[in-house]
Amino acid sequence: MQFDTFDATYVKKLQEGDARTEEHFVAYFSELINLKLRSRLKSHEAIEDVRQETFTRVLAAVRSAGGIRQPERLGAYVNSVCNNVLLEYYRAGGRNDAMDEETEANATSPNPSALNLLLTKDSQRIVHQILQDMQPRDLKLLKGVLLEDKDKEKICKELGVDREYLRVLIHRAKISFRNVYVKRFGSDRPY
Amino acid sequence: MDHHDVMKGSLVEKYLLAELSPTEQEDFEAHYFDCEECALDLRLTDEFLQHTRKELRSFPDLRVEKPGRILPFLLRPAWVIPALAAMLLLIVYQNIMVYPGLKHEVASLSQPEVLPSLALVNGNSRGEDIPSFTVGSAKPFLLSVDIPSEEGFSSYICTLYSPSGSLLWRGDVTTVQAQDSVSIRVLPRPEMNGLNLLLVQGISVSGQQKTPVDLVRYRFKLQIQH
Repeated sequence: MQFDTFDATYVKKLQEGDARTEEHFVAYFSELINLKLRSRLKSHEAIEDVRQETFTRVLAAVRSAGGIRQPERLGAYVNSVCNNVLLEYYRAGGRNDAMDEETEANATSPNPSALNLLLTKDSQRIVHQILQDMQPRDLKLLKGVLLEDKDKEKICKELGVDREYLRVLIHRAKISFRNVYVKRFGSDRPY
Repeated sequence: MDHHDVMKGSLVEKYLLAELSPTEQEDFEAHYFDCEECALDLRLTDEFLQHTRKELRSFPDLRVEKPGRILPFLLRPAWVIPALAAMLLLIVYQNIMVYPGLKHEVASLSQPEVLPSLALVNGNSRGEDIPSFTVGSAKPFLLSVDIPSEEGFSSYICTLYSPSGSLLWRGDVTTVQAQDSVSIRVLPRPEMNGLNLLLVQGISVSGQQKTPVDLVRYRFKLQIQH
């Protein structure tokens, strides 16, 4: 999926019901909405409800007589509609606990395509290599924070690093991940 | 909140590690829905963390030396005294041997000096024209190079290759410099013993592309005396 800048042309295509633009719109914002909602909603179904309602409302507004005022701020508009839908969901008695780890891992792509599965496998291999090249201390830190859900302050202190170190570690590893991926597979992915 | 704030404050990492306050979280969400760069960065970081979670499960339990344990061990007299003695010896050696030598070298570099030079002119790609030159191993020499100035080049590149074909040096030459012979200071290296090549290329500007064009290949034989 290649990213296009949101502008009047993009919104006009959405208004006209252009299938490819609509597909891109849903794919792009689904990922962002999932990221936003998974810390607020317990189940995949709840996320799906809020996501679909958000898209229904945004597309209705885009296709209404007045359209939306600032096409270049389509993203901000989607976020504000999503906030409203989420609020209504809470008021209607929807649960607001965060998802557990297992549900969270499956939330991003419930029905991955064969191509996506291949890309995911490749990404996983790259991450494996990056982790293998890490110092034992860094691995222990990541394991403590990401898997064992240990108190970050405590584990950083135990390993003799400060909190900033954890963020820098993730940032650097992520950059390596991106560089290796782009080098190996080109820039077909959105990064 | 703008893009600069996000980058400076590592907000992508903080967001995914749940380290933002509810207000900061909402502000950041408002930003990344509107900023394509941050949205991509967020998705990338999230993908990396998801894979990391899965992969870490297969990593064995790791033993890490706690920082506090190393220090007392190294502070034992059995280690400290020889270490201090070694450091003292090192300081004495540096002050008596290394620094005076370096001072002398720096002083000699800042003084004018007569250097042997080899003129490379008119191209010498044919075998019979190859000049030979003998230099001392640690003594620099000058290559005085004639660059054929032609129309249509915005600059030139000189590239020096060793007898084995490995790249030794590359430098840019402006059109103004190319009007006269260009002097290149070279410090001989052991791998330069034999037939070296200096390739001169012109950079032609055609539209957006800068294409190097081979202009002349100078070959010269170097004998390094030890």
